[in-house]
Amino acid sequence: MIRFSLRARRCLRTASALLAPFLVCFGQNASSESPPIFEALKSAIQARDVQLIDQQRKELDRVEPRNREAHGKAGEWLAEGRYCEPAGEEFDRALSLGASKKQQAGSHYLLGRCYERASRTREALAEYRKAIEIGPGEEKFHVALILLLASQWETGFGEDAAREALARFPNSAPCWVAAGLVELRNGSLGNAREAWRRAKALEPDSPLVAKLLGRIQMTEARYAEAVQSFQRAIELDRSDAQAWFYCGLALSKMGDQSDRALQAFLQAIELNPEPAEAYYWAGSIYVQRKHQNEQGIRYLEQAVVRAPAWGPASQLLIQAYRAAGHSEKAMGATRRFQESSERAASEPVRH
Amino acid sequence: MSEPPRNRFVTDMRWIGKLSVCGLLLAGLGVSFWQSDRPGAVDPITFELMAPRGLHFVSNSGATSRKYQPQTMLAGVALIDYDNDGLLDIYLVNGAAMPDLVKNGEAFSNRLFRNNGDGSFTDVTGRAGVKGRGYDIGVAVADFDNDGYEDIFVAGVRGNILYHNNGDGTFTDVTQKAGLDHRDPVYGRLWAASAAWVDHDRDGWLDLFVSNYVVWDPEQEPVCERDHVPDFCHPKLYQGLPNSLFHNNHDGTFTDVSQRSGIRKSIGKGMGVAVADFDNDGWPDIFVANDNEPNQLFHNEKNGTFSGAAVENGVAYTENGAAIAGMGADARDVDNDSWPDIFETALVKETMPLFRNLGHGIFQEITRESGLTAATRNKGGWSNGVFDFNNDGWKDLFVAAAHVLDPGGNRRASVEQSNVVLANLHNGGFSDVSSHAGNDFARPAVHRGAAFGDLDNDGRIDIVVTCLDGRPEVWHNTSPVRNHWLIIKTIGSTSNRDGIGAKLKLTTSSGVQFNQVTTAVGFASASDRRVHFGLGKDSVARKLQIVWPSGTVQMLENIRADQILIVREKPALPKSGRDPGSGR
Repeated sequence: MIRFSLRARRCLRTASALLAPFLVCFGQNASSESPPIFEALKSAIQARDVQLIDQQRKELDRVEPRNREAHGKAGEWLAEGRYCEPAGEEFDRALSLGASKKQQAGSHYLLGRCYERASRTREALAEYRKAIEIGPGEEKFHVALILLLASQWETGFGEDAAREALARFPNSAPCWVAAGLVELRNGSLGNAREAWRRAKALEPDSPLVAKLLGRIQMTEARYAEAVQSFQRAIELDRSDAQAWFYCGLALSKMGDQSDRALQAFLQAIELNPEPAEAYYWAGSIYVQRKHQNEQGIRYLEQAVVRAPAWGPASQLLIQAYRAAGHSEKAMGATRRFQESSERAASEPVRH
Repeated sequence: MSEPPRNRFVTDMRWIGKLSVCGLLLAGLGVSFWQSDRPGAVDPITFELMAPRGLHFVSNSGATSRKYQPQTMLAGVALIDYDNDGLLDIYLVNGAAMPDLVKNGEAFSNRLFRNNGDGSFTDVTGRAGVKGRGYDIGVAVADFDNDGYEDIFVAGVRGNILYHNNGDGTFTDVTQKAGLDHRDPVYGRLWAASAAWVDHDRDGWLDLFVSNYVVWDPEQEPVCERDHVPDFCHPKLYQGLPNSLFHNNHDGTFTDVSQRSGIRKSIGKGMGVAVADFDNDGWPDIFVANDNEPNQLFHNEKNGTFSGAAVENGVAYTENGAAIAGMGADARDVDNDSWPDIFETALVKETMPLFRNLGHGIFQEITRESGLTAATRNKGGWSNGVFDFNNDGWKDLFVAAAHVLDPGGNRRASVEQSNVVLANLHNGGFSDVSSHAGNDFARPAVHRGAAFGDLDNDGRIDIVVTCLDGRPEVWHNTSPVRNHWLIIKTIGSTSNRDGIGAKLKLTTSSGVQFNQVTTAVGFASASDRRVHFGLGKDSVARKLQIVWPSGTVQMLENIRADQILIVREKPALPKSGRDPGSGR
């Protein structure tokens, strides 16, 4: 059964980025030994109660004004909850109390992830770049930057970033995978395949490598083969939400595999309930293939909650509302989308 | 033949909510009946590739080893009866030297070819004075000053041109005088791709909508490669632009109302424009196909302003949740249910969406159900049109196909493509009949613009397709089944003289069809403004109802088929007043 609450991540490794995120760890085993104020802040973030978050941050400041780890950890949790500005303030506070370069770089990286998840690409890119500037020896910073550039079609900058990363980490399969995804975005399938070959030689049993192959096959419209590649990635790591998601996408492209695709999307949601995309696709199958509008609406509403300015989710939700006879809800969704779009202004939306 | 659909011109506002819901539900139910497996059951569609004497033209993109973005966009074509002799002439748009964007030689000249009526054409560019100035992309045709002669608007990369038809075979460049020598306060010169003449405020004078593409500067052109070979860059690397709307001041001048009308609020990468009254409220709405940005649907608010309605009406994105590389667009009723649908072209692997109007401007994409996913997946589409090529009473689809990439680049094998024609199966589905469309039809080329019209007035819709750095293709419609037809040329009086925006409902014993007067079709191109209907086996149309932009409703009865009918707008009559045969 899918739970729609924004609950705590069971495992950060299943987050939406292709690669496992970097854990900064300002505190040592913080969750088991954390003071009540810290637990209260976490709860407020999980409940997405902005007023309570503000209160708990003030309380944290009062109780632990000089506790670097507490403020750093608060920053991590806020960043994870997509409260990027408060997270930045907590990181600044922690860093002002003395922090290692690794912690400095890590805080920028986590802020980058926060902004990326909030579809605030420019800020995310700036944070990733700062992270690399402070900690150039951390492979994951480079990979995050390259992937974000690729997702934004900034393939020129992506190539530059990939070149720099590969010069530093020539034997890094994740860097080759990221470089391959840039090439894929650039339409250079030959280069993408070459990057995949290099990555495969380095880590033949990496789910990352299998997923890159699947992405290449998707681009070539070889959907059945792509499904096999994503299934291979799933075999290697059954908790890889992204592999499930892409498997669902490839299955949905095959036309006659809607039920299997839906199951894959539901599994992706179960493993990582954060990204809007899996909800959108699950909703899409319910509405467009199975003509089960009410079911689809449940998922599409979750997609819109997570990405209010993401047009496709709102478009389909409005259509589903209309088809199900919920005219007022359709009008409300239209109004909310227009408001979110205006807020998002010209900022590109990640999808 | 199915039951005639209800009269779209009778709109009971109380029905709107219910109809919307019912339409959606019925659409869902209807899906399983679609995707016909009987392509042989429809009348064949065939074309013959002509090489008309006198039509000497090779488009010139100013190709250089540096892949400047405009070089892949060339160019539009218009079918225009500029001399009012009843024969469609051809106006072809051309490029310029790169990176100067100047037509520094005859090779870059736009060209006007007069139709001699015997299958040959005469180049009248010099006498007409319409050779253009800069790097031109698109063209729009209409009689903007209501003087009875079709004028030409040319959309360009660094500037647009308005040619006023003097009525004596010559044109005058009135761009400056008309106030269209336009420089945007924020973006400077706007790269215009397509345009549409539309009387958006129904004052009897045609206004001008221009779709603008991207911010582009040859000095800032990024360098892109495909597998180490230079090629055109992805549109994502360029900043989008707002579109423009110019209000006709009735005195030969225009006022830029882009800001005031709300058009400027929305940024896109505008390509093809389609105009129709999608919600049947009597006011024309505007659809813009955007390249890798969500499509735009500007709903006419009846007070000189437009509101963005693409997302809520279901046409911003495809069913794959994608903002596709939208290229061309045509808005016409493909299922004879009275509501104008939208057919849009896109690039290879994206498929070309068909948005079905469920009623009142609410759309549902039926690309998969209609058979278009399979038919268009491996094609890149530029200009397109929705016309009844076999005159069977159901509108078919045509796509001018090619890839966007460099024909000399690493992907050259897939750049040249053959065009696509899809026959309407009368059940919501379409069948790709390209392979049966004649021996010439498989000819691959780098197709771009396409204009539709009856060049020889034989009642069958012909097509002129442009090719990048190549000769235009003139596709003479040779569809063998001699179905009946009717072509209507509207002449407005209270409405704009072309009657652009008039809505036509044709009733025969087989059913009812709908169409509207527009010249904005496909990508960067302008088609015959005369409205064409295929009548199938019906030799008589029982009724023809025309709703003019002025609101005047005119009814004609018992109209003989196989003729070109000129209908002049009558002054508004009392509701009961009918004048059978009026205007014939």
